[in-house]
Amino acid sequence: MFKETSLLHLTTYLLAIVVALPFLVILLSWGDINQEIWAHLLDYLFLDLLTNTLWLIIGVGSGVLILGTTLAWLTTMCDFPGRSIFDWALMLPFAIPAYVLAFVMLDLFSYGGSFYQAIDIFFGGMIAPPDIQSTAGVITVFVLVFYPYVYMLARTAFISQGNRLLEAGQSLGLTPLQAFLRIALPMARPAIAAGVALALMETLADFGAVSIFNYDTFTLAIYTSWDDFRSLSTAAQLSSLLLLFALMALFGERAMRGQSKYHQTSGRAPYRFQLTGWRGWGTTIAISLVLFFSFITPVVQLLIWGAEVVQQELNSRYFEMLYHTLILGGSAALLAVLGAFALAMARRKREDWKIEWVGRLITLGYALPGSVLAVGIMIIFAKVGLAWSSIVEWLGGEATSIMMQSVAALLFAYLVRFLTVAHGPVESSLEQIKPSMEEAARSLGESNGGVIRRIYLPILTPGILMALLMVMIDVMKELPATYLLRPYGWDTFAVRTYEMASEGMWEHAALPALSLVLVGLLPVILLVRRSR
Amino acid sequence: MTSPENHLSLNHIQCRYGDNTVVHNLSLEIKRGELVCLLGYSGCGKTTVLRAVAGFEPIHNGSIILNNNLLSSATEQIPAEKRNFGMVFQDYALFPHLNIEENVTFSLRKESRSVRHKQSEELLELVGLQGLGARHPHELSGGQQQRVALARALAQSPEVILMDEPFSNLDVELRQRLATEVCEILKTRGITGIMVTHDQHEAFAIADRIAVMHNGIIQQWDSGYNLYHKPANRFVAEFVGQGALLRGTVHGDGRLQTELGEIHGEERQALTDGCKVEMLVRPDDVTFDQEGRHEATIIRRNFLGAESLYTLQLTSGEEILGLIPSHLQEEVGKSVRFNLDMDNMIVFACNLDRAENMGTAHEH
Repeated sequence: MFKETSLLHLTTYLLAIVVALPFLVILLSWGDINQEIWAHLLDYLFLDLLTNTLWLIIGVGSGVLILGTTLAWLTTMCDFPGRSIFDWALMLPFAIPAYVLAFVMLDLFSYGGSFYQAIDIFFGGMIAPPDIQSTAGVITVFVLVFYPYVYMLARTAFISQGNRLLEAGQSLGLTPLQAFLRIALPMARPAIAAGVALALMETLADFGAVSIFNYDTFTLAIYTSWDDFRSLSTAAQLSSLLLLFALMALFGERAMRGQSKYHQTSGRAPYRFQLTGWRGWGTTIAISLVLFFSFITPVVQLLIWGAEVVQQELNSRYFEMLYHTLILGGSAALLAVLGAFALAMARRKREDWKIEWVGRLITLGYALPGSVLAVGIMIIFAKVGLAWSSIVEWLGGEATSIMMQSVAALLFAYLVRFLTVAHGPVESSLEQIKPSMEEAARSLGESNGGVIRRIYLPILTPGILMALLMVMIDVMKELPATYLLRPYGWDTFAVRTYEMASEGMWEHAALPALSLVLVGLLPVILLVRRSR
Repeated sequence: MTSPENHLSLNHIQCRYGDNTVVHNLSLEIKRGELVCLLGYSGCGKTTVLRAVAGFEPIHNGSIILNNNLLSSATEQIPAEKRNFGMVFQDYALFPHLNIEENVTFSLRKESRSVRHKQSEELLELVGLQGLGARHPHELSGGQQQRVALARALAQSPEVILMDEPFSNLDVELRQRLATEVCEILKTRGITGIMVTHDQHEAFAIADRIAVMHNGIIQQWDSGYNLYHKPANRFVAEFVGQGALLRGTVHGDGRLQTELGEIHGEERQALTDGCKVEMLVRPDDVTFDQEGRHEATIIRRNFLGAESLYTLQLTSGEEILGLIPSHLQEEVGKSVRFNLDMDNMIVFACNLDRAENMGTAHEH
């Protein structure tokens, strides 16, 4: 079946060009340097950008590493009150976008906020409420939002190790803690490193949270050089620097992910180290605090604000936003899944090394931070627009301008960024169909149509639905590319949340933010169900 | 060419992958209801032959004929779905999204639901899985999955059933039991069967006739008994069963001068006087006897239960194997006397055979 591989290959090469173009225009942007702006950047901003970015990498990296690994160790290898609930509940913060936790925390810890007052009342004068709008504050928010990457991967690694090797270690004279440190932890190292790399990629790509905290990073500088200075080339040059950091994180993740595959042993339920008495309850309280700040606080605060404004805000404007969010998410999901399906089919036979490499290139799109991607696409659209109008004028017509900010530009961006997200579930459902199944169906008398209808469609459907859902939700939560590329009047939940939050109008941000958290919970629930 | 009792004929078929010819000029005549095995190392082309019969691989020369109807030739190929051949795969290839009953009745799409249900019940009972129709494949063990695959292949009442290493993923005990069961089912229903395997014991257990393949060529097409006792060439002699080759020289007719003195036996091949040869000594040709004609030192003993397998070193340094009832225990290092029972003497001419066959046998 699908003997027409040439069509599949053609589609795959087209996708590769689509993904490669933004990379190329970003990396080739150094030809035209605006000296005035760069002088300004170097004088006032550039050193801050670098030190802030390094602080984020160090702080968030070590924070998610320690928090995620410790939590995973506690929930998989120890027993304490509430363990079975924390086991899945600790994945819930996946549903909270970083910019949402950022503005909730900013309010609660700022002068007059609930946490500020609570600290004031309980410790009055002894300790000052912390300044959340600081490097430590930004790092804390990112750690609370992104630790689930490490938690989830480390947890899976610990569970798949089984306990046979730990028992072997104990039989050789190690205590349970020593066995963990010398056996389980080194074996889980690739998975943990992959989780840290993913968290760092998200941190580097973040635009909303750092903007709300006024913390200068590359994403913010990229936005400023476009919004204040109208210099796409400077934005692209800054983007290329950020891209370097992001690619390093991505390659780190790829390399680690590859290694982690080799450590798979039997999956008997591990024996758990019993934490009794104060140690057990201490653990319970500590983990509750993590969950309290990372999930319960933002959700409760959003509910309180939402309840205040739901009467006025649940109006036609809200439903227009809902419509825009859904239509963008839906069409991007369709595009990405179609692309992912073509790619997965072309890669299926694994015969053609060119297709293999093109496939790897295509999945690099995930590493492009949204703001970098937006700058790249604006440059492409500007160039195409210029070429188009000169052609039309040469032909004697009147040129209609091609908009840099349009739905087409948005879909372009979503396709590049989220093709990888769709590719995972589509490919793994395709892998379920072994070549022998198709042959078995044929030997049982089914022809082409029957094989597609009775084998391919029913086996692929769940994976395709999963891919559609995941891309759709990622698009709905996506902020920087949407913010930069959306046509006038196309506000989505993410854009509205950010705009209201960055102006300090928390209540007005609550309803769209709450909507995002709710849809964001869907994939987390699926993740939780699959992980049990 | 095809005699009336022949059901399925492969005539001089050739299969290629690109420039690489993997099956050379291969011919087989299979009788109706016969169970045959293609036996050989992996990569010998046996699976390609099976897939060509199934219609999954084209042939580049020759023809495949069923009941005097052409199935495949270099120019024509009836598609696999029109052949009505049952196929059992090495990885079972059960459909993961269908339950066992839906898997078994996959080919009965035109029948009513009640007919399908009844058929499924019957077939599952036949393969010993009654009552499991509502389960899904991942809930069954490997052996059970293989039984389902067999039931599914039988559901369309095929004339021929093709099995590609059907038992290789199962443990040894289950493998032999299932092989015997499958053999009985196919015999009762009069279905012609072709099985591909690399396991000679599996082939001996199930097959009426066995084709030993090597490098895309059939080395011998015979019963299991003859493969063991009358191997056609050095490859078959070394591949089937155990044994050792002793160097010797022919004197007159049927007398052979070897390390062990002069050996008499019934000579099948005409060998000229003075020709250098090698004689096949099977472990079961050796019997311990205190007054035996030959002497050797025991260098290894493998206890197998009813028998023990001894490795014996002759004075020249050459080694032979002896399979001896285990109650006649002898210790390692001891010198023993023994006799050779060479009624059935198998001799390969040294130079000639080496040039033709040894090169290939060396691979292993």
